[in-house]
Amino acid sequence: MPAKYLQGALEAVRVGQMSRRDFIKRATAAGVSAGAAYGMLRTGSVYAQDTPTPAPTQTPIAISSNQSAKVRIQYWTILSGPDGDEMSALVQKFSGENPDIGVDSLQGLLDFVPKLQAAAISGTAPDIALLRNHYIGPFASKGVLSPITADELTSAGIKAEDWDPTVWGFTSYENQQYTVPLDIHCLALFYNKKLLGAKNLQVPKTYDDLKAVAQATTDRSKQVCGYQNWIATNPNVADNFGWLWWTYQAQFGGQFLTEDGSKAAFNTPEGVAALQAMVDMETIGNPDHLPYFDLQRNGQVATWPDGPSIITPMTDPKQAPAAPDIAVAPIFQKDPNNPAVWAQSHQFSLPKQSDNSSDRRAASFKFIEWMTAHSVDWAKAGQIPARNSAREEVLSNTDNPVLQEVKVFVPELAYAKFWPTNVPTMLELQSRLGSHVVGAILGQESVQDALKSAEQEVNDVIANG
Amino acid sequence: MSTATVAQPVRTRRKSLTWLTGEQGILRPIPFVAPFLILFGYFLLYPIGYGFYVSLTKWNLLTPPQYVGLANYRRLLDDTLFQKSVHNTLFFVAVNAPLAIIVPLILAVLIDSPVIGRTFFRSAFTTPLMMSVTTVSLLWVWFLNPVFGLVNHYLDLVGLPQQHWLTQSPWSLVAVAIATVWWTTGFNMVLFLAGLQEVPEDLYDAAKVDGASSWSLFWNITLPSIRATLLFVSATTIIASFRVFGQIYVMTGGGPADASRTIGYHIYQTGFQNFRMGGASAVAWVLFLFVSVFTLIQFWLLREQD
Repeated sequence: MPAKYLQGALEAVRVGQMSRRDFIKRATAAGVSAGAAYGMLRTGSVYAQDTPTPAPTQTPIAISSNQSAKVRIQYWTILSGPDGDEMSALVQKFSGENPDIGVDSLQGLLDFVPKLQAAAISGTAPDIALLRNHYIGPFASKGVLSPITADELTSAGIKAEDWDPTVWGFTSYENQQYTVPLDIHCLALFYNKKLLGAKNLQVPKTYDDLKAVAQATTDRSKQVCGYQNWIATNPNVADNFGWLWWTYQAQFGGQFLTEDGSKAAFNTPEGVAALQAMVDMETIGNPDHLPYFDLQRNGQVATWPDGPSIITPMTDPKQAPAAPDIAVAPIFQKDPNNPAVWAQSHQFSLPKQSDNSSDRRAASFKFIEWMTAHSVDWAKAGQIPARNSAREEVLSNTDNPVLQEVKVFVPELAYAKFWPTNVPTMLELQSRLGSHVVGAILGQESVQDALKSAEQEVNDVIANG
Repeated sequence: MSTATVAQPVRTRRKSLTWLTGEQGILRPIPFVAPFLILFGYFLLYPIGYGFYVSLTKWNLLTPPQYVGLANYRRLLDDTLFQKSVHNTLFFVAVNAPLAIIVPLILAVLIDSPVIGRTFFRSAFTTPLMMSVTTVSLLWVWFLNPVFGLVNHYLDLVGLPQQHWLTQSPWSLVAVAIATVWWTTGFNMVLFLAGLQEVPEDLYDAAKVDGASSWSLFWNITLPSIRATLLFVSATTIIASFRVFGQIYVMTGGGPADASRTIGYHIYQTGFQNFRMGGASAVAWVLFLFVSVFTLIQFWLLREQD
């Protein structure tokens, strides 16, 4: 481009359209610009060599199967990234075995909650929506979801005794069942063997162990974090903050709301101690509040709690250069005799339909039964099947590398703590509490002020419905 | 006699309707502007009025709206989250608007003078305009990454302390302002350039003969001559600053800990995340009043002096 520009300018000088003075000016400008551009590119390229592997891109996945099928169902999920890919593969497998049912499937919807609600308003909601258990209250209370009857479950061959009893208890709103669980995911402790090994450290089992490990491995000069409360630097805080906070809160004996759900119950001595523990861990392990994902996968974080869906990217060297050093252990405990860990479940729900088609509803139940029965394949995306038979298949598997890591999470189900499903304003409450928890972790407000403000805002939201 | 008696009222009636349907009658322009008025009324005036009605209700879109009077407005007086969003918005306007006016003005003055490569710089400065808000925001999220970002890399090279732009208050809003200025400078610069090219050269020539300095030329000739452009740029920039949303949504999500929650983002969260349409509409009306007051103040400050 600069060569063509100079050739053009030379021609203009030759035919007398440009003075020599103008030519020198333009040539100098072109040279300076090209030099500056080269310098910037060079700086950028040198810098790029230091930049770790870029984060994988997450995009929605849309597939449409069995085009000639008489019955078509629409299926939306909140999943994205690798678990969205696995779910799409599973949908294809279902379609192959059930040619009479066409599935229009959409994974990885950003802003899933407003989109599902907007679809319900306009009468275009999908037949099946895979959502998180604590979404039941917000959606069922507004009439977005249709209740599931015992007869429908029986006809579809879905029996409660085939499911983990704890998660089956988190499928209802006001004593009416709305969902069928697909999986359970809870937190475990991800750790970097190399960073711990360099200091001769054991994998932490208690909160005190964790503190000691974080203290020993944090190195601010090398941007190495001994521990990360990674929610603090995650903009989607409303959805994710509770994964960590609820673990600490439950371990320290704290609550979220009162028994009747009418008021906040987290601003207590136990709640203060739990949040203070999170703040202390951040101060020790990540005092500069560095972002999480890139440092973790590039081997600069010694320990962090995370869910099983992160197993896939963290064990793939293409996505995580530090994959060979990353391992998983059960979550640390404040009191090993009274263990607790946050847990959540992806569950199939049936949004209300404007035409009440019985064919599509029957096909939806067939789909749900098939998916839960085959959820050992889903577990390969890093999830614990909620259905007992599929979970037993996971435990007996000896060759799939992801399933070997998922096995670490399974014993934690014995003390898993789920968010309640009976709170209509749950998502708004999480957002309010989460904002102040993050404020405390980042040092923008004291633990006491954070909990006091959160309590006031949560009570205000509950009072205003 | 009888004919004259009958004809008289007809003439009077025709004459009396002239003001309405005559050549200069007030209904005369209606057919010409009717297509615009219909669209304007249906897509702007009606939604504005309906928005005000919604602000007097409690409505989640799924159940019928309940009339609650001014309760949504009264609630704002005690709503700490709304108050925080007002504070953040004013901070953003205070940081962004001056930069988004002064930087393009300086660039326009520089490019308007015979500098080498001015065509190149004109194109370079207007290039970000062609990008969508999402692209610009994602670019800046990478630029501002505290570990791998270019901005901290260059700060480090010149010995300045590195910042954790998007996880620190108030740096998160400053970061959004920097991205916004980078994105919008080209547009305001083009407007200023158009204004500068309307300034008569002989004013500068006469002032130079009187020995005026470059600063004096700018202050006493350039600025007063582009008053209308300055008013337009100031008004549109301040209005846009009040309404900032896209950059916040992509870059910070209103965080950390609501430190970048602006009024626009608060409206989105209230209306389309929490489905409190009445509360969201009330905040939207308050924003409308804010913007109106600030715009009127600007018109008053930059009015033509006699």
